[in-house]
Amino acid sequence: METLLEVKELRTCYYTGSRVIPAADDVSFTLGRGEVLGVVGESGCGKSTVARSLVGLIDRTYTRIESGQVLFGGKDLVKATPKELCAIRGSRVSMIFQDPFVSLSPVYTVGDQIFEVMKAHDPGLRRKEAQETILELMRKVGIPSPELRVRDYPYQLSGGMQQRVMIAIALACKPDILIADEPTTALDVTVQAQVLDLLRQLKDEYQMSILLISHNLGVIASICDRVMIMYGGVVVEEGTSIQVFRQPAHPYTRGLLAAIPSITEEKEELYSIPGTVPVFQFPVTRCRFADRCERAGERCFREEPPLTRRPDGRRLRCFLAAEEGRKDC
Amino acid sequence: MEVLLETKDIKKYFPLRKKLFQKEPPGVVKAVDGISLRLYKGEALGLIGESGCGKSTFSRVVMQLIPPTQGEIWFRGERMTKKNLMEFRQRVQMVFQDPYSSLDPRMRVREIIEEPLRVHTKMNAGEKLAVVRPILERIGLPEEALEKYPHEFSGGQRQRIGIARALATQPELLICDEPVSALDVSIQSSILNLFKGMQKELGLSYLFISHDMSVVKHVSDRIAVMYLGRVVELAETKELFANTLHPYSQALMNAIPAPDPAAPRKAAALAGEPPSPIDPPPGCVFHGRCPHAAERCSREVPSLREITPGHFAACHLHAGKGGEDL
Repeated sequence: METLLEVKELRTCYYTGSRVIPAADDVSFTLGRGEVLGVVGESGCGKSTVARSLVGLIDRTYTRIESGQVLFGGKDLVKATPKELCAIRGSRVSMIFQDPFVSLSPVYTVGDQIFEVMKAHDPGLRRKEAQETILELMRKVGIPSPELRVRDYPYQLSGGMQQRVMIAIALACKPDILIADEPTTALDVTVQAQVLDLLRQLKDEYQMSILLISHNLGVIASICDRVMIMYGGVVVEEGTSIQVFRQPAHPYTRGLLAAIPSITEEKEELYSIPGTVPVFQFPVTRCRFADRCERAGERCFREEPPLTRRPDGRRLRCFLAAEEGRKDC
Repeated sequence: MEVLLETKDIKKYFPLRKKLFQKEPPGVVKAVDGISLRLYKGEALGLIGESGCGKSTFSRVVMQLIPPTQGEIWFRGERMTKKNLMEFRQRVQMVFQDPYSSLDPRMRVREIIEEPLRVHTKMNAGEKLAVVRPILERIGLPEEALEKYPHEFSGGQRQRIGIARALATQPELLICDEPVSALDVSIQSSILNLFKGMQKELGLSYLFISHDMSVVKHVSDRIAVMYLGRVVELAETKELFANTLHPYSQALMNAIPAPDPAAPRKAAALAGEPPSPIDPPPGCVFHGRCPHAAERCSREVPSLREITPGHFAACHLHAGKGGEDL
C-alpha cells in the first residue's frame, strides 16, 4: 500500500504556568491510501492533540510542537508556514469534528458553507457555477431533497443531517485524508450506524484514507483496518483490528476491552481499571500506565518502555507483554 | 412479587408558545404519551431510547419534579400527591447524568451527602455522620473525602458522591438518569459494578435510564424500549435479546457496533430519524421508519399487549397473538 502520511516521533506539549505537559509524546505512525486507522483512548490521552497537530490546528500560545515530523506529499507539515498549511487544510486533508452544531456557522446557509471551502481553494469560483457540485455533494452524503436543504440554516437540520453537511464540507475538495474526530459521539445509535455506513462507502469510492478518533471501541472495530491505542500521550499498542481486538497484548488494551459491557455475552462483574488517567509532566521516566497496571514490576516505575515492533507486525509499549511475546515466538 | 412503583397512563405535554401573528392555536410537544409501567421490589428496570424519546421527561414526572398532564403515580399501593411528596422523596432518590453540574461546588462532600438528611430528618451532626460514614465506605471513597470539595475529585469519584447523596435517606428506589454516560469506559465499568452490588446487598430497585443498550443490558432485569414518548416493547432482559418483537428494538440492537472487527455486518441501518414529537405521525409512531409497515399502521395506534407471558410489544405485526393489553 502506498504510504500517504507518515508521522515520526511527534511531540506536542501544553504549557500551563510552570508545567509542561506532553499531551502527545513520541507518536509515530503511517497511514496508507484507502486505509482507515483508528485512534482509541479515554479522554485526555492525546487523541485529539495528535489529530490537530497534524494539520497545525493548535493554539500556539499554549501549545507547541516540540519535535517530530509529519511527512505528507513530500513535505514536513510541522515546518510548513501557516499559508502552506491553509492550502492543504480543507483541500488535501479535511477534518470533521464531534459536535456538528457547534462546528457549523449559524448565520450562513448550508449551501454557502459548502461553497466557502470550495472558494477558499479556488478563488475564481462563482456560487452559481458551483451550485450543481454542491447539490451533488449533498446527494452523495445522503441528504434527502438537497434542492430544498441547500437553503436551510444549520438549526433547521437534525444532528445526523448536520453531521452529513460537515462531511459534505470535508469532501468538497476531494481530500486524500479525512480526519474524523469523534464523528458519531453526539449522535444516536441508529444515526451513528448511518454515518458509519456513509464513511465506509465514501472510503471505497474515493480511495480516501481516514484517521478515525473515537473512544467507542465498537465504532472503531466496525470500520478500521488498523488500530492505535493511546494512553497518557503515547501510543501503547498498534496493530491490525483483528490483532488488537482478538489478542490484545498491552494491559491497558486488555483492561479497556474487558471493561465494556457486552451485548452478546453475559458478564456478571465488569473489569474495571483501578485509578484514573493521570496528567504527566515532562520528562516522563516511567511506564505511564504503571500506576494502574496490575502486573507492573519495579522496572516499570524506573524507565519508560520503548515502542517496539513484534514479529507479528504489531507495535507495543510494554516490558511485560514484550517478554511474553518473546516466549510465544 | 410486590409492586413498588406503578405509573398509570402518564402523559406529559409541553405547550408551545404562540408565535406573533399566528392565528391557529399553538401545538403541544407530546414528550411522554401514555406510559404505564410497573416496577417490582428489588428489580432493575431499564429504560432505553434515543434522544428526544421522553426518557428524561418520564423520570422527572415519576420523581414529581414536574407535574404530569395526565396520569397517576402509585408507590407501595398509595397514590402519590402533593401531600405525601416529602415521604415519597425520601423513599425514592435520583442520580443524575453529569457529575460536574449536579454537585454544588461550594459545599464540602460531607454537606452534600448530608443535605437530604437535613431536609428530611431532624438528626444532629453526630447522627448524620453516623449515617454518612458507612455509605461512604460502601461507595468506595476514603473518609478523608468528607472534608474535601467536589473539584478535588475525578468524574468517577464525583459520580460516587452523587450516588452517596442519593443513598443518604436509605431509599428503596433509585432513579438513575444516564448515570454513566459522562464517564470514560474504564470508570464506567466500576460504577456499573457498584450499582449491581448495591442492588444485591441493599435490596435496592432501580429505574435505570440510558441510551446505551449494552449498559442497560448489563444492569437491568427488565427493559422497556421507548420511542417518541411511548413504550414500544417491554420484556425481561434475556427474553428481549433472544426474541426481539418490535422492529424498532431490532433496529436499535442492529445499530450497535460490536467491539469485534470480524463480527458480521448487520442488516442495513434504519433509514431516517425520529419524527418530531410536536406533530407525531398518526397511527403507530414508528411506521414512517418501519421496514414492515402496512396500511393499518398509519391508521391505528397499536397498544402495548402481552404477546408471550411477560413480553409486551406495541406492534400490529404481532396483533392477534397473545392476550391482553397492559
